[in-house]
Amino acid sequence: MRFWVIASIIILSLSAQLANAASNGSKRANSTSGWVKISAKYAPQMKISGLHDVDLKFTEADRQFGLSAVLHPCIFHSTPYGRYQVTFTSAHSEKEDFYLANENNDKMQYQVYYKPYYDTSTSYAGDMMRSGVPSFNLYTAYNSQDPNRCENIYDLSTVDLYIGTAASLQSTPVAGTYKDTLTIQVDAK
Amino acid sequence: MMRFSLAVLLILFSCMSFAKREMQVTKNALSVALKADVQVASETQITGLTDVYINPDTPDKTAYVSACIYTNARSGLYRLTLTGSANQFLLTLNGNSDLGNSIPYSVNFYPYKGQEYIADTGRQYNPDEVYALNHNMPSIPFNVIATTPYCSYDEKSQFAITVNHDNQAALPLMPGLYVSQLTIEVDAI
Repeated sequence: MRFWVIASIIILSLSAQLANAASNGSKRANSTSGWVKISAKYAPQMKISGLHDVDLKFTEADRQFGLSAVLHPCIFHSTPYGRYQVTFTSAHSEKEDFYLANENNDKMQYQVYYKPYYDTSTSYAGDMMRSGVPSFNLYTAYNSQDPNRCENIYDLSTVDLYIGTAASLQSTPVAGTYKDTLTIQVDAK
Repeated sequence: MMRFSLAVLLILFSCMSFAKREMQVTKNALSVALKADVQVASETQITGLTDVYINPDTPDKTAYVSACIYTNARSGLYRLTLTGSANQFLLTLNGNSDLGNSIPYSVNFYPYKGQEYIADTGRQYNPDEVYALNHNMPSIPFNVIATTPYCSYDEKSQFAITVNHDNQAALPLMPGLYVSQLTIEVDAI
């Protein structure tokens, strides 16, 4: 019984392959025709845009609340509701934490929160990211057909950068210009 | 009994008449005119077709279909008519034109070197000349020299199938497999 089931499956799969293969024309007097199947596979495409450099100046008032900056990247996915992951990586990363560093390699930690555009809650800053660690699976939707349709604020995700907190900035940081390169990688899933 | 005797008499009579004819043959020279009337019908066939995959990431985005166009006539004039399954030269996502995304393709014809001239113009065949084929429109007539249905490499014509989609200029496509069935019809004129 099992043999016949397996044999049937093999025959069916072979006949399915034959049905898909090219067909030569048969011999005819004045006219004949054959056909071929043409195929092309397109992979998902992603694009991130709307990024810009952030330049902040520390003042006395920032001791209490820390420094912050906001980015609004537009993340495009060629599949509507396609899943993706976003990964933030600091050039001065240590133990999955984000750091700025000055000329003498003195470091100042900062934090990154990511909130996808479809999360419209005002009380939630987004997921706290770890440097080099991908986010959970996220989704893209109505901005999926046009990578350039990012001027609409509702298409944009939010990246909040927090440099220091009231508690951590009780002592003045060592003077200098602190920099970091934050790499944002988006992967289709 | 009566019926049996009658049958025996009939058999004996027929044997005697055969013997008599044999004697006549040996006495006189016998000439027999044999008229052989064998008609070989004309045959046309297209062979050697195989399915093709186009890699859209390659610079030329082109795949080649080889075809052997065969006739048993000494030579003959033929036209090609090519039609795509979507009633256009169009690759559609999973073969479903309702899904919206589609990719046009073009087909160029390279006659093999035996196809010496193009009838409408009387020109000699130029191996560097490419003949663009329109969808469902007969090509200009070309000459096919008699060969076998199993062409050698040099005797094969070629169809160059090129995907016309520029990833940089156009909107990105939905990811997936885009397919088309291309029917190649050969008609004697």
